[in-house]
Amino acid sequence: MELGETALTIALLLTVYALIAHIIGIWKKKNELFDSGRIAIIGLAVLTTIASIWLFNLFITRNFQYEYVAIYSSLDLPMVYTISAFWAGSDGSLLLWAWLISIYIAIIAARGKSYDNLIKHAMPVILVTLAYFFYMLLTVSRPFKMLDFMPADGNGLNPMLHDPGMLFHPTTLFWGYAGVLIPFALMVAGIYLSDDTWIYRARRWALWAWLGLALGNLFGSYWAYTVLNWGGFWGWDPVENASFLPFLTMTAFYHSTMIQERKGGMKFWNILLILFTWELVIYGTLLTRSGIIASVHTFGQSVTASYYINYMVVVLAATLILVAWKYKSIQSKKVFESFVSREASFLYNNWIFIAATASVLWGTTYPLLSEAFRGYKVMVGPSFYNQVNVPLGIALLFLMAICPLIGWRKASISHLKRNFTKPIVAAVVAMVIAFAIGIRDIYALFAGVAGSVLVISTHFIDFSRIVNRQKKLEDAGTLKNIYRAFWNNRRTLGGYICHIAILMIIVSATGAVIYEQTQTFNMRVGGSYSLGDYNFKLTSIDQYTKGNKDVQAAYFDVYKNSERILTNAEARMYHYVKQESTTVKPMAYTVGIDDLYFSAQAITADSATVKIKVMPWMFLMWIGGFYVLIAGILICISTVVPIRPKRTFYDINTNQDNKTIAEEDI
Amino acid sequence: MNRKLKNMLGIGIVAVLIIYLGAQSFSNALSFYYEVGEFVQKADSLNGKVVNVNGTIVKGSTIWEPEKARLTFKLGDNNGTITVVSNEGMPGNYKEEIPAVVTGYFVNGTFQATVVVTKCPSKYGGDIDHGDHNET
Repeated sequence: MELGETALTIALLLTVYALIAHIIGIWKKKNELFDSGRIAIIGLAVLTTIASIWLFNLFITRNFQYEYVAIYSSLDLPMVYTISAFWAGSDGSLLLWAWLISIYIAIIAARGKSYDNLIKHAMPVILVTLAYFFYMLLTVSRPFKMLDFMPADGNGLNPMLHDPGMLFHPTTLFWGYAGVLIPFALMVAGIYLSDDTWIYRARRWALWAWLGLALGNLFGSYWAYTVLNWGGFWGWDPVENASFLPFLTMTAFYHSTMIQERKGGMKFWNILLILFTWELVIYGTLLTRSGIIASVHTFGQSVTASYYINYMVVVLAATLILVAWKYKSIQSKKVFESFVSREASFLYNNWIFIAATASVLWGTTYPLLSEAFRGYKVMVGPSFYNQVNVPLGIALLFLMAICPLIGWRKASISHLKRNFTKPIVAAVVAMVIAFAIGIRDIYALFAGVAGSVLVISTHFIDFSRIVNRQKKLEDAGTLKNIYRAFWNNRRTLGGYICHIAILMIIVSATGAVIYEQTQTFNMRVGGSYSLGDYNFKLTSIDQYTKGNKDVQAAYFDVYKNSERILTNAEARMYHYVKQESTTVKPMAYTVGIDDLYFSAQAITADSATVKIKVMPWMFLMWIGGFYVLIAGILICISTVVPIRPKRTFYDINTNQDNKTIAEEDI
Repeated sequence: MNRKLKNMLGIGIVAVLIIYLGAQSFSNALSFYYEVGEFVQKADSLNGKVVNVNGTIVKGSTIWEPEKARLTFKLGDNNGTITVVSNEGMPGNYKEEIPAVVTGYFVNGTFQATVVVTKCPSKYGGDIDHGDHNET
């Protein structure tokens, strides 16, 4: 038998064994069964790793007798993209997903101390899912399927996937997808056991998954911007929406868990949020892999659609039945005393995210519904998403500005005056200055200027208060006080850093959309053309071969105020000989606060037709997204000492339903 | 009216407003999506309306005029063919005999495309060349 499928078959058997061991262990209350189940989990992770390494090996050795390798690689494919072809198709993507899940649960299984009753009850949920994925990998989505002949060469990878983005976008997204399963399973176990402590365990995994989803979306956006020539950083295409949806609900979940942690509220809401996040992960996979949706990006057909739909239906039905069965134990405490309070700001935050999710889900799914129930296909354009989500984004920005300083329970008028007078004055002054220097757009003034100043000032004020508290506690000098305040409050401040990252992304998107200047030029060599403050001179045209493609390049010198600021900026077109395919490689250059974006439409021996865009503030999006956001999340994750209330450790020999949960304010 | 009721009313008005704006923009953002065969049958009634048409780029039909950045090709399926003209330059991943979706309007017997999108990058795939191979 073939190595990859042998490894996956044994992994499936071990998964089933671990599942049975857990179920009987719970039923018969035998701890030794959990120990053998844990060993089986580590074993299945080793086997899935072997299968994955084997698939890498098949690509590296270009073994085209394997259908998947033959479809997604070729002899002339550069090695780095040959390796990344692993996840170029649905079969490899599913293997990557299963691999990451198996690694996550192996880490949990290997840490014996934390393998408590909650995780013992959560593990069967994960194992059932994993067994289902292994079954699919062995039957309908087979990366190790062999051909009965050896092709001389493979089809090759889609030219648009020949980019470093291919290394990072799918992997980070599946890191998030795999991570979502853990909090979902903990939630199911928590309901079954009537154990509210699932939220603490889930929150840390949710943070990990959220980082993966955030990076996956950001890499996708960066890829669209620099490679795919879709004309910007976000196009509201169903492919993008599919990965954006679970990110939105996961963000809502991460915020609302704080209310459950602190106040014991929003329990039912949190259950629904994590349930729908996991459902949206599967739904996203279904949309991008099944070909069921009418998109501008014509998806291939796959037989896996029914498998994902069946899984979604079973998960939804089973969870809702469980929730109905245990509904009495999911009673939240009343936490909302006032509409003007920290608690309420979390609620509004959730409403905004749910409204955004609903709009994106509706726009993405409507073509399916239209075809199914009305008999004709339609497409939903980006204007719908923008008109709904831009106001929601602005509301979120102002909510982000309010949240650090608004009081818990009920904010009085004097409290609001004391905390918000300075930030509001600063925002108004900033708006006046912005207006005076020529900013007239209402979105730029309110969202870009006032919103930014409010967010930064309220976060800064709260940080300075934290430092002052540290100073009163133990004054060790300014720098040490700041360091200690930061370290002791890194979960809160990590969150604040994430807020600043989101602010940077919102400001850059606002700047790029409002102040973008675009023009298409048909230029002769030596000609000069102006756009905004810039003058573009086409200096030469070149044609050369690089690797597996022919390159046509138009070179520009760029001037601002008669001063040359950029030399040999390129607009490129690639022709892939093997694929007989031509693609445009957009090129973006950051000059000061502007991105100069060159997108070639046609290049001849002595002329070029090039669309040029000037997009201000784009650099903030990538700095905010890739550096600040990662830093913020890592700081949050660094709170390795779990913040959890006293909790009753549930021994499986006890009657769960009679237990009560001790809580403390944290 | 007590304060709580006033707040609820305020939130309700905002929610209704958002839903209303969403519904308005939704109907404006919708455009029809046809296969080539369907479109050919309805072309006359759709004259001038922005629609999306899905089909396969016909082999040997491409005329590329780089000095004008103009691309002309035929898009077809089993039930019909239309001529598509795009002045937006060469679309990414352009190749004959692959599926494409064109967005634009039909005028004077030609489909004027404002957007031409070829097969999704995540779904390249395809049949394996059985021609030159070693039997195993």
